[in-house]
Amino acid sequence: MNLKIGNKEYSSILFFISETLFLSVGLSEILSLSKNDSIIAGIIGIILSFIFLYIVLKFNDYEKDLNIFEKIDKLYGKYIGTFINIVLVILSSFYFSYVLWSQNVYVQNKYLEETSPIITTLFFMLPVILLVRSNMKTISKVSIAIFFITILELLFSYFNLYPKIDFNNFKPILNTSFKDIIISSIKYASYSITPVIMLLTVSKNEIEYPKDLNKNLYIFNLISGIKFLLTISFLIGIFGIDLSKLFYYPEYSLMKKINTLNFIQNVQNILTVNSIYNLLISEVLSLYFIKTYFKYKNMNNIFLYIIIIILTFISINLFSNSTQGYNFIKNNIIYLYTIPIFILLIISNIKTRI
Amino acid sequence: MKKIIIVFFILLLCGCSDYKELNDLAIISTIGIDKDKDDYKICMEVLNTNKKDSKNYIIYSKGKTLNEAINKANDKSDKKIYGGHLNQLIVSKDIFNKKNTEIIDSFIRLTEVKDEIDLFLSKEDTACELLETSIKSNKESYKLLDNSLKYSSRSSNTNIDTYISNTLKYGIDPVISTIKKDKDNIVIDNIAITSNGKIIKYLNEKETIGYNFIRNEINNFSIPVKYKDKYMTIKINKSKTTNKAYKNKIIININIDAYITEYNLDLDLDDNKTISKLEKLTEKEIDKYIKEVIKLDNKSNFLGFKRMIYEDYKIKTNDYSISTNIKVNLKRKGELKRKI
Repeated sequence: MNLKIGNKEYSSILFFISETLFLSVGLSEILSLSKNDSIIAGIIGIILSFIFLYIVLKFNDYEKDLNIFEKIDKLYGKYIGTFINIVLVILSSFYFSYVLWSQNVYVQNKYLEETSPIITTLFFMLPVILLVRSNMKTISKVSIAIFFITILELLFSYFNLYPKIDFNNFKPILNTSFKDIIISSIKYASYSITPVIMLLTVSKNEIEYPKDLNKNLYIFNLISGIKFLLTISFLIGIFGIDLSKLFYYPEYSLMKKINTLNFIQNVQNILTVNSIYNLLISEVLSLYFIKTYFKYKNMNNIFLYIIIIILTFISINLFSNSTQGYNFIKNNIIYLYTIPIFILLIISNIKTRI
Repeated sequence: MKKIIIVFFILLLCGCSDYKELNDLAIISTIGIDKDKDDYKICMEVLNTNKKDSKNYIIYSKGKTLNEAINKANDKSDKKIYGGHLNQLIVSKDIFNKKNTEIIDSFIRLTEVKDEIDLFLSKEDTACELLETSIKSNKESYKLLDNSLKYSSRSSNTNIDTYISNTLKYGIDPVISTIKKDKDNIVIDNIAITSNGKIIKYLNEKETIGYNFIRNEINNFSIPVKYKDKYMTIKINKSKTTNKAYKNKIIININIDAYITEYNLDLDLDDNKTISKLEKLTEKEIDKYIKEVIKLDNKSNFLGFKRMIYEDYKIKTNDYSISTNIKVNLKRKGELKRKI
């Protein structure tokens, strides 16, 4: 029996986790900031995301038999290493709580207005726990299966939305300041690549054909970038920038426009289910990250379940309202999440050369 | 594999906890909004899903806000009001001028309601009177209006997201279709133009057709063309408008493929000169429609010319000239070479 994780299956996880922070925060933020030039910001952002991804993967190439916690311990020694690992676990726990909270807000807003968030959260946590209990091979298989479903849904949506585009809506271009375009592209790169660090929870040699891993991760990053560019293009082309930037969930509003042959209507709930997939994979990966650390420290699994229960209940009341939550993320995520992680990765990459 | 299947089932079954039977829903197809002093008065056409021969019915309600009114309507119905199939919104002119953005805002916020709801203005009667007329005539208002919009060049389709999108954009003002009572029926009328969120004028038929030519929305249209006191009818097969903006000039280019459907002139259709003459006559006739509507450009930005200049040159100007360039191509001359 082949115990190694499929290369493409594992890489497909990047497609989902790189999109999670765009739900309700990233996408509308970039639209508001760079307006009609969001497509240009997206293109620069994709180029930057490759640089960010290169930094992550460079670190992954160090000691290919070790996972991220072992690498950090080896590089920084017992005490500093443990401190850094605990910080990473705390960041991952917060990331999980935020994603679960954000999922609750989204589900309450768009799908199940009348259902209690406790019920939706508990139902949603069942597959998450099921996947976290299993191994990365199963998670990767689920990821590649839903990747193909997502691609089919997106192709169907784009095919149906294309006739609704008014190309005049893209004009005027280059009407935004260069500074805003650059800020948007940096935000794109940070939102999409920072969570990728959680993928390093598996050592490179546990994956089939490790030599091809980096190439496949770059490919999935490109697919994710193309999806982002297409979404932005359809939003601006169909609604115009002034209306698009008002939406909390622009992608959902976009899918509401689908009306094929006058009988395929109201399919937005099915076609935006890929946002739920993004959230599912991100939650699973962040908990798997915590589980790997507990396993590395030989801690009993019961601690993991206690942590999951605590985080789940924290997430339900993480922020008092969505405005407060989204503003917190908008204003702080780069300082609290992206900058510390990339400082760590850059220092680590320098240390590995010495 | 088992785990993957379980994951999918759990995800898909989350919605079962608050499901509703179809028979427990009051499916709304059209909402009429009127003014009642300072309150909203709404009437909702509910599709009758129970018995085949029975008519749709109306639920009335009032409220300080639209959502309060809809909420109160829920109390009056034994079923839960469901807006997923809402197709049309009819707003009385009294309330439209005061609260159009508020009305559209509240519908865009409702998740179950789609954005492509057609927006109509009732200029003479109240919105509820129009809905009552359509129910009495045993016709579903949304089918009636939908078909008229599809096949008419004497009106223009505006849905709520186009309306709000044009309201937000610089240099273009939204237009809105009007409807009226015609004996026992409701029919589509010409369009109303707005400026700064207020109705400023109802276009006449000629102006509405001119508007549709400029906005490239001509559909199923025949033009009577006069020559020496006799008429022929030209049916427009295909019309393509490409407006070109310069810093201080707008050129409206219209290319039309047409054919003759009625011919009472004494000119021989086998002669090339006749065809050129007929094409020129048709071009002049179409130019009249366009000139008619261009006159109104100083009253409102409904033609979107300022927007076009802004899109191409990033300048906000009121100083521009408009010229037209119409080319008619008579593709077919019908079955007969001359009049009988």
